[in-house]
Amino acid sequence: MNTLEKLKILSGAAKYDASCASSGSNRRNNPKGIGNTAVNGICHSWSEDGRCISLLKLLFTNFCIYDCAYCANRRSNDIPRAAFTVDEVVDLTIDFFKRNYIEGLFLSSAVFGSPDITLEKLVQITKKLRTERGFNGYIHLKVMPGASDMLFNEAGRYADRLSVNIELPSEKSLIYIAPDKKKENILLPMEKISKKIYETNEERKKTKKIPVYSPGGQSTQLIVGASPEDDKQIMRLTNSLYNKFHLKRVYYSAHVSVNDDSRLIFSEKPDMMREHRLYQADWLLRVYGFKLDDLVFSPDGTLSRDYDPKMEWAFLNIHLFPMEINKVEFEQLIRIPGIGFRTATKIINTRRFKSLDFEDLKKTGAVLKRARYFITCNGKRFDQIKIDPQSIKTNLLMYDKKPKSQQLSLFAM
Amino acid sequence: MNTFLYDGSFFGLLTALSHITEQNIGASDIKTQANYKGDLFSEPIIIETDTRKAEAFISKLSKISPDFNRTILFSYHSEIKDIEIKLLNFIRFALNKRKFPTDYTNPDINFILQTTRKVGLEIHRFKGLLRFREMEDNTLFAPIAPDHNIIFFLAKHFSSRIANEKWIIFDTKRHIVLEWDTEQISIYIDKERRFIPKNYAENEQEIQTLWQAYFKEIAIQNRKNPRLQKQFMPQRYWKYLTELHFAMF
Ligand code: SF4
Repeated sequence: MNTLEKLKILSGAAKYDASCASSGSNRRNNPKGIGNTAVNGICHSWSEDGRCISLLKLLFTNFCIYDCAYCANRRSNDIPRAAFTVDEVVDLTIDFFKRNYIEGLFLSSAVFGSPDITLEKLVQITKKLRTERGFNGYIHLKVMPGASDMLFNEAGRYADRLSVNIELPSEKSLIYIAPDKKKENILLPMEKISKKIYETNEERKKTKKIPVYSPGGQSTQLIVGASPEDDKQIMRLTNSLYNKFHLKRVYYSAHVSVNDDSRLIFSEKPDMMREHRLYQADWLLRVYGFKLDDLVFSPDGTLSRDYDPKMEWAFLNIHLFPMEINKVEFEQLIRIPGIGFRTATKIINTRRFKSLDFEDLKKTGAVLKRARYFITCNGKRFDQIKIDPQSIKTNLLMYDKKPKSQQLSLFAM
Repeated sequence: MNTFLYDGSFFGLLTALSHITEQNIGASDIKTQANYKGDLFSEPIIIETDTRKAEAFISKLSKISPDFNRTILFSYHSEIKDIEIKLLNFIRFALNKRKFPTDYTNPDINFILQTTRKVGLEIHRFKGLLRFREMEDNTLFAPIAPDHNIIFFLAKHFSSRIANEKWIIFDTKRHIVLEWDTEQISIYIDKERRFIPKNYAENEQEIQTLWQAYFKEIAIQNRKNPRLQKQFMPQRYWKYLTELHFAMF
């Protein structure tokens, strides 16, 4: 099999991993080497599904000894299989990188032989890139739960980011659907990685002679909609992953059935709306300083589909409104529906020169369609709508004719 | 109200801005000499570029805020028509208030701040969207056609990133060449395109094929969303993307 055929099979198998971040690390280059990393990450292209292409995402192989229900590569499936050689992956990475196709490599693998044997191959590739080819671009390794500590340590020494995918949001589902994996096997390595990152950072404060360890942190991915967990359970897990293990990112992937397996909830189409709402809620926790308790769930544990989580929070906390645009602090501004980070910054900046009226506010990029109910400008309301959730909802409906075809954007909150 | 003409250089523009604000003269227009079509009713005032004056002016502004450097540099390189007069109003406001203007409700200030952002965004975009091809002599070659004149701002990024290879970036609209010989950067204008290496490296086609296959494979079919793709990656940037077509030059 030639490299092109392998590439088709093994990138096709890797594409469902949502993570494409190349951020969080600032590895420098040297005059004889190739590559560095950009702290904020760089997108190089966008595929037809609108996702950013930043890393060369590959499985080393899709031969697998396990049989996870949700996975197309499970051993009981009859599909084309392939495996790269170490040099093929190394060459692809360098050839793509020097043409500026990518920021680096995101390497993962099915489990062949054993977790140790698999991870050893991945480490070999990373080591070769770093030490023999002088490669200083981004490397994200997805490590195999169950591999030895020694390999984990080596992996973190050469990679910028490590991840262990949780895949399913609860232990019960995990045992049921991925019988060969155990929660401890996943949470344990995450805990180990997070400890090692912390220790290394502490030691490096004293002496820079200690080599870095996964300087871009770690991340994970959850499959949503394959098992019965509700949004509330998922966000609770997310919250503890951020707080306990200091993860940089949690990714969510709406489930699409690739196998005919009765243990899984069947879904022909991915539930994009649900995925979107989870990302919005995640964003509020991670960036906007919201607490888990600030998220609003229905009695059956789901996030609202009609309104984004910030709007729902505002409905529930309607007594905090209206807020005066010319007075409240940044932290409060970003809690107002229709006002995001960038707009809030502009408002604060403009306030240094003048106080804003509604016309001015529009120019800062605030989405008045949504913000108007929650604010005053110099004591004035935009219109005389009563400030209660029901009247606001009625009004929103009247003005918002095509909410469904809207572009799903994180930043429009 | 006067029309001022400068030689089109960055220091020329700074000299003009310095002159006009110091003398506190009314200005209706600031143009490059090349763009001036003539006017029956008035004589334009011609500004002689004065490097010292220009430097003094920018350092005076930097003392008010370090943000002026980037704002003026990016606005100038935006090459947007009539940016000069907006920049003048922006600076007048700043000198008046002795602060970096961030009043987004003032149209000229808003425009200058947005323009700075836009140019910054385009620089960031091209760090990703630029594609090298390997030529016969192993030089990497990348044609670009950005909206704004941003090629200078790519020099540092690519010379530290791809340090061990020779490369050339060529702005096909403006005929500007940015060249890295693994030790030094040079920038020059080449209308005849003399420097363009003639043939591709032996495996160039093969690598592009692999890249195209990867690009196709990585998209999830039941999530297709070409509108979103175009929103992030506007079609005017597609011309030289090797993932979309074998990009000969
Ligand atoms: S171990 Fe990974 S590759 Fe193997 S079946 Fe499970 S999810 Fe799929």
